[in-house]
Amino acid sequence: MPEHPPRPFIQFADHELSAVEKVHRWDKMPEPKVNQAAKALQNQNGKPMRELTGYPTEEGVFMLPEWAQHQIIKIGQRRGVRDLIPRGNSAHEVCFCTAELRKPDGQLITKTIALKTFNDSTAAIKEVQINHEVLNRGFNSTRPVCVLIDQGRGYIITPARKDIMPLDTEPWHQFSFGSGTVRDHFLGRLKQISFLLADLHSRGINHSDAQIKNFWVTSKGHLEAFDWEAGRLYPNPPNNQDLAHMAVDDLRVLFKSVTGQYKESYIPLFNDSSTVNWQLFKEYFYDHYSYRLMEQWQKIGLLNEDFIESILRAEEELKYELDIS
Amino acid sequence: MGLETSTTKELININDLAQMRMYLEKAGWEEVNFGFHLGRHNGALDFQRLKERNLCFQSNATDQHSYQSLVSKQIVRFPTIYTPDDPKNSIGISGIPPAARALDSLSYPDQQPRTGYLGSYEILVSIAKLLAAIYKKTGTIPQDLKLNNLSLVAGTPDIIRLVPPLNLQPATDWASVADQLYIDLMTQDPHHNHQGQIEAFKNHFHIFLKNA
Repeated sequence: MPEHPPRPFIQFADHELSAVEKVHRWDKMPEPKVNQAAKALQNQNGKPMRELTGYPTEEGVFMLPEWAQHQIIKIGQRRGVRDLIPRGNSAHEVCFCTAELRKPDGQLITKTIALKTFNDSTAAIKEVQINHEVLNRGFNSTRPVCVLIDQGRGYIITPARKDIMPLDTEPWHQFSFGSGTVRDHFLGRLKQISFLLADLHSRGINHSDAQIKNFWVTSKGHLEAFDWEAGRLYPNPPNNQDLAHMAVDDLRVLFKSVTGQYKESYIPLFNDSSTVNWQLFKEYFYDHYSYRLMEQWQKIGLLNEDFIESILRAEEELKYELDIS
Repeated sequence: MGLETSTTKELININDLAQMRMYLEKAGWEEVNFGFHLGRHNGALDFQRLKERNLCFQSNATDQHSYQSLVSKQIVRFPTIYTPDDPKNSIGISGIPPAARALDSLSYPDQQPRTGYLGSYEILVSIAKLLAAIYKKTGTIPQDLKLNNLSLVAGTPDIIRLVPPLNLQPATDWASVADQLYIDLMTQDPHHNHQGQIEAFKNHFHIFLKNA
């Protein structure tokens, strides 16, 4: 495995290289999306697998750097076994199946993978590159193995994680009628999301689709963002103007998410008038977010009046975009 | 998996969950997060350390008898690491896969079966599979079954397991289980319609009963 610069903030998941296991019986009729990806991989069979650099437009299999010396041999579903992973209401256009990989030492391993299909391969490449940079900037998230381009379509292959729980699978509705403990739990979640978004923004990462469904929590309670399809990158650290832009962009989406404005992932945490919803959002989220940002900026010695002003302007702009008086 | 270390020998001398919590925290165990926690409803301790995870709960004679019936019929369950000698007011310890999560910490929004991932229908069908196996092989069903008595272990062939302490009783009316589940679904997740999910549960229970 090629060496990579140390990443102080990331804990490498030990599930990724699990026990050696060969699939003895593949399902002859996998699900359509899996079948499509399997055929795409067959089409690229025999061509050298390359390490992903830049934004390739030609067909092929492009491995992410930490998987550069692995080869992906087969995609399919194991006969008689369903690698089922629970998801929220929104499936993120992802399905789960099995991939067979060859390690640098020649050993064959199988992985349960999440397969994400794109009709436009450039969108797949963009997502993978942003995902990769998010990891490089010190955050835990999905860790794609490769992106496959075939006949204009793109397929991202990522090891499926069984140790996580997407936040939109949690019973957010219990916030209203659950016990004090449950309510505290969800308020704590909001605080976690606020801190994570502040940390992302402080390193120039704009998720751009910061709905509740795009966060997950590990069994140890660590929160991570994923699904970088709409993501945007700014310099690390960003300037105040970019920071304000990221704040408005992500918090606008998050506000709509927690006020039940996305039907596909309905989470009406705050279910009152827009003014009251904003007050609650500010108290339970925005104030934590801006406090965390100030902390981060102070750490890097950039906390000054201009910064404070841009945060205040961002709040006003956010309220304007959300039509809150 | 589990506390098959010197920790177990020390834990068996502790008969109080509060003391056990203090011991585990001191020994570097972390309490499992909300959605994964299998003991939120009854005060059981759900702790993990590295790849180990254990549930420490108030055990009783019924729990131990139920467990033995699952073992004897080779029905999937969380393995018991430690069973107290005195079944009254003592603490049992079960080994839990790190990815196990509580069914009462999920929402059940799906109005139809899903392909490619585990949706609400698939979870209810899997519950039916487990209960049918228990009923067919032991003639018992879990009493007062609720979602918090069930756990999901993703990525395994038998994804649903009962959460200890177990309470299997001779079955006189298995259909009541479906009704109880329906009521619990409505309580846990009132924003979604669960009629279709319960129908799927009932239909598959019949099928699994025939094939178990």
